[in-house]
Amino acid sequence: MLGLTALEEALRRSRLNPDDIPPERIAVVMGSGSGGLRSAEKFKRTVLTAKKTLPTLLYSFSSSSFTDLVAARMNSRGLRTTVSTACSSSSTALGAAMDLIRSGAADVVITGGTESLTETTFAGFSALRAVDERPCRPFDRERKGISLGEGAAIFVVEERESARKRGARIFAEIAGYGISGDAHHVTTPEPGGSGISLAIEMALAGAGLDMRDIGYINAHGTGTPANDLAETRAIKAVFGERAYEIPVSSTKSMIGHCLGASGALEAAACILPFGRGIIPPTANYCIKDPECDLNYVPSPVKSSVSAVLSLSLAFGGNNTALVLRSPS
Amino acid sequence: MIAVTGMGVVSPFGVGLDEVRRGMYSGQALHAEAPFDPARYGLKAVGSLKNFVPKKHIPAMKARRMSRLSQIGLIAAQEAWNMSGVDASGDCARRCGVIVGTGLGSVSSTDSFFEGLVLRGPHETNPMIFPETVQNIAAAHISIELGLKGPNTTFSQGDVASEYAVHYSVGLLKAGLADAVLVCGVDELTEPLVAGLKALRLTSRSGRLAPFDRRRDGIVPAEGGAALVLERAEDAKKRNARIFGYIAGFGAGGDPVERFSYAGTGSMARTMDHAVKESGIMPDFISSSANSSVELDRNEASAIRSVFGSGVPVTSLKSRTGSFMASGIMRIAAALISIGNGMIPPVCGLVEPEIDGIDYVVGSPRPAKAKTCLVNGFSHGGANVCLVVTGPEP
Repeated sequence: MLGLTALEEALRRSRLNPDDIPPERIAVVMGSGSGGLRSAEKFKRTVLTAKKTLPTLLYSFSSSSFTDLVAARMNSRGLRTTVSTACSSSSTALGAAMDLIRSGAADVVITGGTESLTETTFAGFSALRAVDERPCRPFDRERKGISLGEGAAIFVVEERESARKRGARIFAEIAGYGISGDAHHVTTPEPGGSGISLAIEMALAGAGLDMRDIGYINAHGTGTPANDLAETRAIKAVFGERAYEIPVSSTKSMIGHCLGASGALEAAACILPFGRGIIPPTANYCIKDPECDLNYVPSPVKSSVSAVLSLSLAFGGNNTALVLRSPS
Repeated sequence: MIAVTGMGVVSPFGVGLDEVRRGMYSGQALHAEAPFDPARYGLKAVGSLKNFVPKKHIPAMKARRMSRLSQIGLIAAQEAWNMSGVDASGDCARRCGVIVGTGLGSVSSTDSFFEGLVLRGPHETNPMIFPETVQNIAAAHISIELGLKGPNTTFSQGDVASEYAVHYSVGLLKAGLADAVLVCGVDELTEPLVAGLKALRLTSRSGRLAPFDRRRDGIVPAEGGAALVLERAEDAKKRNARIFGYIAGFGAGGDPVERFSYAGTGSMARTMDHAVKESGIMPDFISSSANSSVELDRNEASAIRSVFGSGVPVTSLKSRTGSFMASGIMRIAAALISIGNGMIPPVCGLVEPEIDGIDYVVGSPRPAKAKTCLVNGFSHGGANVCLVVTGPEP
């Protein structure tokens, strides 16, 4: 439901009429961490407590079930796929959607991600002692962990010229992305952030941009001690002295960690500086950590930027960096 | 062209590529013994792994912490990677990617974590299991154990998850974003999965595994993992690597259908046609996606007939192994073995075809000077990915 609601809003804003596009040229690339796990939990609970099976609760179990629903809604006969890499899923999905437009495999790609909060996820992060009892405080010296959230963000992606031709409002351009693996640990990022740096370098190269072009970084910024430090180190490794000038903030400080949907939600937040000239802040950031010493934007600032970098990291040392550009 | 320079398979035939070579021309590799009792779900036998002792392949301490999914994926990946001889030392590691396709990830980990939560409460859950519930956990273990730091992601798209993973890997290599990609397709067969499939009435009622046959009545669930090492052909030749074959082209598409339905005949035909056109090669045989499901086999047979008539022999590896979602890479490996042997394996269990006018390979293996194979991938939900592979001498 979360995803379909976001889809309808995206379609409305895009003013795209799916009937105008050959169905073979509409592709769907979604990101989802745990798919319809929430319903599957109900299925299992009913089996355990009431000894009853309610098979319809399993309909949406697979991560790709939402992708299939979107394809049906769009009457898509084109390529369809689902990225399922936990917390970086939908960020990579946006990158893979860009690939399909660039290669000419599709005229329109519906992309993004959706995630509903489940007991399994909440209990799992709690068991790993990764949840802060208070609202999360990314990059703050007193940070203790994440706050969990849920949500969905959906984008309509098409080639710039075709969007212009039909008079659509262009919110942003997906310019490049990079993905890498830490090859370090299943739950902890590599402390030096070298895998994150590699993803950033790939994304910049793919966008044909220099690190000097980046005016804002939307960090993964979960609020765990290890994540925020590794990310800070990676940003310093790539941006050098400039790291201290670029505003870096965490959307999760406001909406929590929306897991598989977080990359898409944060990409939407990244578009704010383009439209309104406002850099979104890191909420709850109060006390400076001597090791996390960048400009984390304690309150919103006015600034016009032409390109932003969004970072998403996941269990398994999975890193995604996405570069978005201002439409003008 | 993209070359295959390593292959690894953990399947109902056994652990390792040699077991596929031995088993793929014999009968059905279904076993009455599984980590659960198949009879509870009305099945005489399932495609569970034979002689699977993870600690023979992974240090025991590590294996104990991994889900069955991670163990299967890692063992297949190790075999493929070691066979390829690709150098991942030092900075080379950053040019070596890991791309995985999985239908459902480790269902058993999610199930047992949640069961612990319901039965014992939030303070008694096992934190070791939780990371194994994410779908990219196999890719994580593979990248950690093999030290591969390049592009890393995981796709889940029903029955074509691993075909799409190959599609994406080829794109990475062509774009120069990696020099070698370990691509793996893996799914586990555990009790909660079979219980779910049974509840959804997807499993066979008779337990009969008979793709394309009139009397088929549903799938026989299985498990397995298979991995390929892919490189640009010129790189593989430059380092004198052994080349097992090439990935020549793809078709990808879909059909907006009901949840557990498959694409219609026209959509399947278009996807196959696209793969043949993109590769510019007419296939010598077809490794079908057919798995004894009533709808899939009927639509695929009609689509094959409409595109190829009776001109191209058709086989089904799932007629031996049963059905697991990310089986596409296992079928690519088997297709390359068939090409190497000059022998196409027959469809097991097929006595009376429902759809006529197709050259089904039945009875005994068919000798053929085959150089190319169309590997079909059609998923419930309506996604299609087909690809054409060729042997080492195109």
